Amino acid sequence: MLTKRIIPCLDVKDGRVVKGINFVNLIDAGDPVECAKAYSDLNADELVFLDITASSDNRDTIVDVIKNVAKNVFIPLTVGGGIRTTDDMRKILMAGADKISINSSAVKNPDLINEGAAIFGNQCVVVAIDARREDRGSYNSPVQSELYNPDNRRGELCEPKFNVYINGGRVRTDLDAIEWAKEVERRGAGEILLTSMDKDGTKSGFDIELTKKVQEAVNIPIIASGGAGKMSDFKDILQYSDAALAASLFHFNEIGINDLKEYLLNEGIPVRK
Amino acid sequence: MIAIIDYKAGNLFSVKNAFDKLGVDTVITSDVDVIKKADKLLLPGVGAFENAMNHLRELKLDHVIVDEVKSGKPFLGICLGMQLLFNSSEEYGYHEGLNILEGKIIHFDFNNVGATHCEHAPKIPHMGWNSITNCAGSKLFSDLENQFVYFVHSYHLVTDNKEYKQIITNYGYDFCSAIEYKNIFATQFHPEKSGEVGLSILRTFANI
Repeated sequence: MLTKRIIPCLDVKDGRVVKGINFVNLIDAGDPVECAKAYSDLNADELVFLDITASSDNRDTIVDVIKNVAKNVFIPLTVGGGIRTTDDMRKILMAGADKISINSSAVKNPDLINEGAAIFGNQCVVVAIDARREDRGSYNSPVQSELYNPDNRRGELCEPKFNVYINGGRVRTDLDAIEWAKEVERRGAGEILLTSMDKDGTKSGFDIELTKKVQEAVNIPIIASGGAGKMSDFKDILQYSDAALAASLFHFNEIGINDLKEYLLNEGIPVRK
Repeated sequence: MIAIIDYKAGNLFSVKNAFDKLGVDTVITSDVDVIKKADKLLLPGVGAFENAMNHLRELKLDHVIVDEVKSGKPFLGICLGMQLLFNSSEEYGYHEGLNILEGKIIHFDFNNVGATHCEHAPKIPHMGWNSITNCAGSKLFSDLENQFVYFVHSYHLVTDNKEYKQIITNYGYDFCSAIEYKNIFATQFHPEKSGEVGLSILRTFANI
């Protein structure tokens, strides 16, 4: 049986892992190889490296990072951040990444998805979507969808609308997240990395509503991201997604990946031990 | 020395990295003489079947692979490198393969899978970690019953030849995820991306 994947996400800046990795037994918590090995030993199913290098001068250092990690860690690697052309993709893939993740550049130039898929195969192209509920006067309400919508005379429940954001969540676009998900599938994306901006950092659980909507709209694998706080959050979201991603929760060992997998197995969710 | 055959398809370095880690000598090559002199051959590959066959023909590697494999040289095909061994593939049309083994490569077809087994048809590609079974009696996989390996593919092998040792994986239905026949070994999954389990498969192949 195909198992559900648990994926830690590592932020890389100028060749070093940043934003705090706080395991015991790490010789150097900023060394990407050390971090990748630690997660591989803990039974992580894949790794995502997100290049947050501010200056484009240092952009090529991510290539060195991937080369060093790929020489030492033998699980799938996905790299995102700052990838704008198929040449960028080629560099990262040749360094040893298995997939590349594109976000803002896919929105600005959707043909990049088609071109990447045609050259490197669909399985190489992950499209990351940052989605946020539209403000309809009750912006932060976690149960917005259950609110009665006074504009709807038949009294049906209000359906929330999710918009796509780019540039690290700073810029709102008019794209509807569900429609965009359909389009990236049609253009040849092999997978969607779906981040809920409403949930990200809250530790209040993944965005089930958003994930469910995207899952119903597409037939490619979905990695759910944003909001993980406790083990049951993973159980809840993996009913609707193929994988779940988290960062600080794993980095600070608040939840151990092995403990999480043990729990998920007990709850009847298939995972690789 | 294991020759990793370079035919402009996919990431050859992942496979080389894995052998480097194991301390096994490999060379990435498209040179016919180097391939003939190598002790073992490895055909990796991601990408489309037709494109790959065209590259093999252009580089005049198709005949040398067939000859070397038929001479008894140990051979390991990975992913597309497995599929190319067979008669044909239906990926984007009908395309002939190397015809070394009998069988054809078909798209996952879930039409006959009863709706009672799952709410939705499984997604394509088959991507992620899945387990291998029917490993008893095999050379590369005998200790690996029910172990997990990493898959990324939309097409798979079907063959009627009972002489082949078939490793089985379930995705919607049971399909052949690896095969052994005489000196020929092939995996649909990626041992070079399957952690310790994958490394052990490559180590066993290197020691054959």
